[in-house]
Amino acid sequence: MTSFKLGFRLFSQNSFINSLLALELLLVFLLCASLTATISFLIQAQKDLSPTQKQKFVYYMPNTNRTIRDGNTFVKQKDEVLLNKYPELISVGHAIPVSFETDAEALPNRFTFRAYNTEMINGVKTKMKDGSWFMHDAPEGCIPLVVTDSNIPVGTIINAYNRKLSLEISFYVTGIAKSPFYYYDSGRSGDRLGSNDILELYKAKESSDFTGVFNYEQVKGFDYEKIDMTVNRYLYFEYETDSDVYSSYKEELKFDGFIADSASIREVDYEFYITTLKNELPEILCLFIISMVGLMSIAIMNISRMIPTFGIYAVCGCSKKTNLRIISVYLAIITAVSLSASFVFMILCKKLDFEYFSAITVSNFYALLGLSVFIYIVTMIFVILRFKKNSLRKMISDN
Amino acid sequence: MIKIDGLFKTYNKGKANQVNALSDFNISVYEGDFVAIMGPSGAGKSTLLHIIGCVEDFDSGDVVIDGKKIDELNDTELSKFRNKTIGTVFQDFALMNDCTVLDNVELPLLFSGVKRKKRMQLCDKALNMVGMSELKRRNVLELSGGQRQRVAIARAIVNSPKIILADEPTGALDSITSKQIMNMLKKINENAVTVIVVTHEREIAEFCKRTIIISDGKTVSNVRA
Repeated sequence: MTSFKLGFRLFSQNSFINSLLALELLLVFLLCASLTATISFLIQAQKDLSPTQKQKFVYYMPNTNRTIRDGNTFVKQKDEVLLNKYPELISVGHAIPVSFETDAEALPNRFTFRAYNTEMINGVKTKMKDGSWFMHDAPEGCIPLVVTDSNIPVGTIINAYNRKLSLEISFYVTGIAKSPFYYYDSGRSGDRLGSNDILELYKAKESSDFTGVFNYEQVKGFDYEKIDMTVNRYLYFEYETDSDVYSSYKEELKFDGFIADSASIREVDYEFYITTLKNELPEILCLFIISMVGLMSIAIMNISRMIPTFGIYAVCGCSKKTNLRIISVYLAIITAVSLSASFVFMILCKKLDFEYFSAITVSNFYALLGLSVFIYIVTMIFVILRFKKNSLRKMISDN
Repeated sequence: MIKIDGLFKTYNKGKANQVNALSDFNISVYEGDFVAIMGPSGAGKSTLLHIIGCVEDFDSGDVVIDGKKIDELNDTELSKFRNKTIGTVFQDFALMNDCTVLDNVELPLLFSGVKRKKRMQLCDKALNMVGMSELKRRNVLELSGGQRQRVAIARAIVNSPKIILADEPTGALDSITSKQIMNMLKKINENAVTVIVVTHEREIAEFCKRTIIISDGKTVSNVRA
């Protein structure tokens, strides 16, 4: 009880230094949180590709007639032609970006939905936050729609129109996709793949990122032939990507303008994040190490500054063990304050979908807890060594 | 009460700056004694006081305080012994700044596990003895030197120790305040508490029943007043 009382007293007496310490500790914790969140995100991104996507949802054809690497101009292949050419091809998936306007107040005036055909809808079943992936029945006259994470609840009806295509559709929200949501879209460059081809959405609440997916086959008067230039085709084969047949088709598929399978597209995307992380990791780690060293130095210096106080305690009958117990309580209070603050901060960031913390999971909290225990133990070791070095007389004469 | 035989204490042993603070030092202090230890700077006065106060170890010899050989006690036993048996007063007061008078005085009681209510009673009693009870809520930084030393004395006596050690208790005070402090220690001694004062001022030593003069780590004279 005495240790707690005096530990609290030490904490409350040196409020300025202790606030600095707590702040520094908070910084280290948040750095650790963002670091572990990035790692979690990468692990999550690796896992996100479903077995279906890896094995059967195979090749992608960009939307426009472009010159590809070998110098040949490729022309969009009709579905029938492709199905005849490749006997193992099950189906062709379509993903068409269609821009819409709406008068609904809760939504941005303009946004783009992705029109998929049934093959595509079945091929890319995604994880849902709420509702389901096109399993609900929509009210009569409405088209089922899955939207990215936004303020719109399941059951909302969105009246949207596209004047150019003479489309006026009432969408019924059947589900909210879980972040990160991968939707299929065209790359700007056509022959280059990357995160523009399979986009990840984190800021679904922001107007520019709000999107949704619907089955255009359910929309009367939607003729994809009319808008063929923006149709992105995806081939579904019945064999797996590591089979021999698949390997034998690879070159031919390239000649037909299909430039990569979904796994390699995802890989390119993943590469991008790895490169970014690799570039930034040394800086983050340096900052992290500097902060940690700085933090422990301040903590140790602060405790060294308190040595005369511990000398007074000793003269009054406090044993070395009790003195160390007092310091451990004092350090525990600072750690607990910073840890609580960083937990609150992280939870808030997660709730507000703050970019760097969106991938935070329970493991991040454990990582922070582990780090705080580590810092605590290392600082205590230094303190014990400092105590061993100091005789009681030296502690008193420091007064 | 205190019996020291053949005490040796050397600093920086084996180094060029080796100092023999105490060599073959012998002394006996009886219960209720009021002893002044005098001597020039570096004579070993403070070392002796620190050894008696159990805050400094020694090379060889026997130090028996209140029937206990202090070199045979471990850290926990020593701290308990310091807490119960010895009260120490320093020249620079050794108070916790940014704390109230009460916070300082209750420290020994906290370490001996006295309950809050009893603690407050004992603090009031000690502060009454030194005439500081009205200032108990004041921060020690707001007090004068004399008042701070009274707080230090109150802290030293709050646990009713058998021995009070005072290392130059008047060194930082003017002559009038010094006399007040010495009178206070005299009053404490009248309650059968053994008081040992280290000083280099003859006027201060005159308050004591006995004066021991040491030089070069040895007793030069031991005179009872």
